[in-house]
Amino acid sequence: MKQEVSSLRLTMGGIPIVISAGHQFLLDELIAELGPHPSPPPNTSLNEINISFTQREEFFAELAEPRGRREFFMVTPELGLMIDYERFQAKIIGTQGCNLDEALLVIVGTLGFLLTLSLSQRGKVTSFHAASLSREGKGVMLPGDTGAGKTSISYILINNGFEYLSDEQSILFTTGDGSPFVYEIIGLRRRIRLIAEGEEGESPFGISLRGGRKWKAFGQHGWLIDPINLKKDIYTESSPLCSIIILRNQTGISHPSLKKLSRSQAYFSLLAAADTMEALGSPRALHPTFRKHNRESFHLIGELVENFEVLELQYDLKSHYKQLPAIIMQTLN
Amino acid sequence: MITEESKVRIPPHILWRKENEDVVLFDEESGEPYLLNETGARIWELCQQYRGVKEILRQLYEEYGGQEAQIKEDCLRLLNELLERNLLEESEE
Repeated sequence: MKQEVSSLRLTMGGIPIVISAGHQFLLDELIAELGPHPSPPPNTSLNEINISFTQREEFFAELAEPRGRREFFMVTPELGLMIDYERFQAKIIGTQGCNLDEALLVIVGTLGFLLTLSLSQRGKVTSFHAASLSREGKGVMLPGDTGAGKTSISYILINNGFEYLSDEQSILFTTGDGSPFVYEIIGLRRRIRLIAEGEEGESPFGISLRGGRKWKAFGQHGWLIDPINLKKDIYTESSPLCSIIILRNQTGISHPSLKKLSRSQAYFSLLAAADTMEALGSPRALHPTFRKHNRESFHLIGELVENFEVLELQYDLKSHYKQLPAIIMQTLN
Repeated sequence: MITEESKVRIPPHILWRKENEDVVLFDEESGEPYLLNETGARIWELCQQYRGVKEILRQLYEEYGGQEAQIKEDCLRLLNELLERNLLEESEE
């Protein structure tokens, strides 16, 4: 039987998110790491996002009900996710054997996904498969395919005076009032925990498992993708978008190069990097909310290519990583 | 399958915009973007302007001259690829 034990109110990018839980262990972890919201934010009823944890039997029973449009994912055999588009809710199923790391990764991803939808009700918004950082109040967004080095470059830039906004999903938001033309990159909770230099000894480039967690290493540096250890003090404020650089990691090229993309190439590349594409991969996702969101992305990206030069940075990450901060920094001057 | 006798139209879920000489297409239902080069972009614009493939071909023959058989083959190949990807649909009108 589901037992409501408590609830947790969070705010991401100024948007309230309500988490209620039947699974004590997940809620305890979240409250321990994030802390309870000091007071319920006002006006949460229309835009609040509810995420709850349920038992498997209840989860499947609810899934079987012929109500509304819902999407269901089984992330692992122990972990499932259901999104109810009409009620604007997400439910996560986690059995006792569920890996907490995986559960929290799903939660973080889900929050970002639902945050995007919520923001889209308030203005123009698009999320990208991109890292974002800022320096002296200027934001740079770095879209890139998996393996382009978004997390690695984020780590390198953090060590060169940049502030973290995101290393995986970047949300651009504007109220769309037309003047001035400003896009804010929403700061997301940092999911990279830095560990001591050289701690691992042998540091393979790429991802491997260390103690059941994802471990990335680069040269003598290493870090963990570790959502459990997120702390409030590394939450970064939003930053105005000043530069867009598409990341292309090409093994074997002799030197890094930065070039301006044509508007059509820029448009195409940014559309391909927009995160909604993945959500729309199945016919189940043909909900008007998504079509509206996608349509907004198309128009918003059109505005971006009219107002920003979109650059493409080609490099061999393993060979050129020390040169990348200076190249990226020059685009903000 | 689209032939010389077909009529075509751009479905309402396809958003598109001309950028310089190219055309960027976006399927708002699947979320997939597409990029047509200069020649493809011209054929796309003609699909918007004319419904009949015959008229589209006639216009292309005038603009590009030369090998009409080759132009027809290339144009029909592109139109059918667009049809397969649900970026274009056949029309009765």
